[in-house]
Amino acid sequence: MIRRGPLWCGQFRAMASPCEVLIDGAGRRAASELAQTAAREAWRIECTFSRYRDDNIVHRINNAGGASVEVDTETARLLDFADQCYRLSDGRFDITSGVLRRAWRFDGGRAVPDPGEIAQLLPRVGWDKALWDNPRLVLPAGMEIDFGGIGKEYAVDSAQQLLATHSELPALVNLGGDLAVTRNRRSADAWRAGVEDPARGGATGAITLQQGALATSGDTHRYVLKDGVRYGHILDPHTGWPVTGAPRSVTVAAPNCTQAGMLATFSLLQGAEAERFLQAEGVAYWCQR
Amino acid sequence: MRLQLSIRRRRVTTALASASGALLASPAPVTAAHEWDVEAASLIFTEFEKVSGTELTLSGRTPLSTDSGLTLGAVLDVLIGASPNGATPSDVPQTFTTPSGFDSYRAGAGEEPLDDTYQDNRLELSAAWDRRYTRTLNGLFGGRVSMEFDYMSIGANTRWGIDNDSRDTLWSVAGAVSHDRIHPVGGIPVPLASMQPQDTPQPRASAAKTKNVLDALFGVSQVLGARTVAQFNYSQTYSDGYHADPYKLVSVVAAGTGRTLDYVYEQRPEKRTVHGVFSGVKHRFDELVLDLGARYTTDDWGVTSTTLDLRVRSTASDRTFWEPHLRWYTQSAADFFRQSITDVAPLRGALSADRRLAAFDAVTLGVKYGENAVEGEAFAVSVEYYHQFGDDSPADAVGVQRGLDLFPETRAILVLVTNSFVW
Amino acid sequence: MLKVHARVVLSAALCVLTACSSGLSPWQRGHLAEEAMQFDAERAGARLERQYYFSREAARGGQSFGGTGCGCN
Repeated sequence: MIRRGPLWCGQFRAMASPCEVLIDGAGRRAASELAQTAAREAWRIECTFSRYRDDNIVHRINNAGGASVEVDTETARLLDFADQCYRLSDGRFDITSGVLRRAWRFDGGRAVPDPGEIAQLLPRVGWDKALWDNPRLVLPAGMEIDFGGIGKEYAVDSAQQLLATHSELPALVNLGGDLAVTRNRRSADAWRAGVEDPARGGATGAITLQQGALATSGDTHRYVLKDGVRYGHILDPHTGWPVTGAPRSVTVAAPNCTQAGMLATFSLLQGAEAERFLQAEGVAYWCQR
Repeated sequence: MRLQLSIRRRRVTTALASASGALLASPAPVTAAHEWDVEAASLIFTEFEKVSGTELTLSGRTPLSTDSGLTLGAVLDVLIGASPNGATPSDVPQTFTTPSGFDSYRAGAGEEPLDDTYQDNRLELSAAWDRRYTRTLNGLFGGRVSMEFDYMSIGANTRWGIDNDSRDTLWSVAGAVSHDRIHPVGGIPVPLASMQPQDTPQPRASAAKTKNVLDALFGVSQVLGARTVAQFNYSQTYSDGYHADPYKLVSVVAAGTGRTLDYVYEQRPEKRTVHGVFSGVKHRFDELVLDLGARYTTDDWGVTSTTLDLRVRSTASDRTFWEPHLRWYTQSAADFFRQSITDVAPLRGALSADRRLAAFDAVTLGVKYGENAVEGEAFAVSVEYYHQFGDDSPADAVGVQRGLDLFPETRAILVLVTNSFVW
Repeated sequence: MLKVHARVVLSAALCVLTACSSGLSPWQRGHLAEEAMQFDAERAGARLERQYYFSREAARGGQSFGGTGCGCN
């Protein structure tokens, strides 16, 4: 635990990102316990929903070979949420689109996949092909789900809720730039957190907020540059091709991190219309182009 | 989706709010650990050929719950040296009886009379309890007691702040009451009575006197933009009781020659009301913070004052800062201030030769070096030069007074060290 | 007369409480949260300096309480 002004700061890594928990007030021990509580929750969610492990529910679903899988209530809630996001985005947000990444390697190079390769993958994409009847999910063989677009924000909210339950102390949970606070600071000060600022070459910028959450979608490092066109890593599951004209990253403020993250992702799916979408939604946002 | 955005305004946001609400479940709370946020400061000052002093303060706040806290504080002042006794300089040496009546001290020809037996120690203890009642309303109740060997003060205060919903405007209301008791060495002198020679009984009215002070403060601070904040305050201080300084004298000089004939003890009005307004603005430039403050006060003793305060803090570095400081102060004299009176003038009513009630200007020039808070520890040191100058040959000077410096300048060096840490 | 005064004060208060919002979003308040941007008349250092000036000058109040409980002036 390090001291940052009146705040305690606990740092750890989860979901391939640097994470921190800020606690306003309290002794070092109490603050450290809160930070560990948040870290354990982030690691738990990472283990439970990572697609890189072979001992969790995601692995069971992806390897069921078309058989029906009965899921636990937490997974069910995530699937319900993913289902609603799929409808709200007219099918653009799709937890089954992960297989397209076998064709797209967003490494900053120029390797645009062969259209034939994408055409071969497209039949394996589409949440509408899945049969979700809570608590049972039937996923056609060859298809996969991936909670990558929800997991981090969900972990932020879940950890935030745990801290709010365990302590009256104001706290901020920041998992790689997606963050949420439990309550207002003791003083009239705002919360401040370091986030990656693509405009400054990834340097750390400071964001402040009083309450609620912030989430950022987009990644300045993951893209393909071909014939002067920059293909960002947000894929349109209808075409299998990246959305073009989207901002490099979008940060949205909302009451909870999951909502903020989804609004940011939805706006990126709008491509060039991202800002217009955010304005129409009347949310507080930040775009980096 | 794109074309119908304006029609479906906030459709997605609203839907996501309920969807994410369903995804996330809800909780209930517990309590906090204790710890002290401590502020320590020391001010060491030296006035050339006069008084030197050290003021130390230590205060700490500990949370009692998420919404409340207790602050305990102590101030210790140690002053030693020589203090002007109010008498005017003369072209011949002068002898004064000490307040106890059993000793005496001298001032050479042309010298400012200084009571070099001056010393004062003060200890103040305070406690305050603050609480946040709602997201935007907070209150504080405090009490303090201050003790000197000849002075004692007890007081209580309260302070309330209310933010508007967007936290752009903060209204504050504060009030304080204080009861002071002075019991000077040798007792309270009879006002306007003559100082007696050493070892002769001095004219004493009583052993002690009291004074009550009421303070009210109304303030508003306003966010004017992402880089600008402003504050406006009005304060009123009403006091009733013994206001005089029992150790201060007024010279009675011969109307023709200006030579000192007698010294009388001063007298001040029983009541005083001071109105003050303060306006401050802070603006954050890219690498500078400009802090400008202006204060105007006026009272029913005839004293009006203006203070301008300018600080410029460099924020080029995250870790340290430099902050030059310029302060300019001017005040008019109290109606009853006389540097001395002549033997033909009637001796009645309020009368004081205390230089702090004279008309004068003062300038402070200083610079502060500070280290920004890291792991709860912040440190700053400032060095300032204070220079007070008034009219050294006023129009009412008579005879030999015309050749003398009747407002010897006060020059002081102040060194202030502040440190905050977590304990 | 008192009623008129009360009405003026009340409407002024309502103006500031409702209309004088800066419209700043939380993340635009980074500078405002800085230590240098706080009005901190009650910090230890400011209190000591104020007490020094109180004991040398006739003015009191304005930014803070006029009474200090000190017999120094």
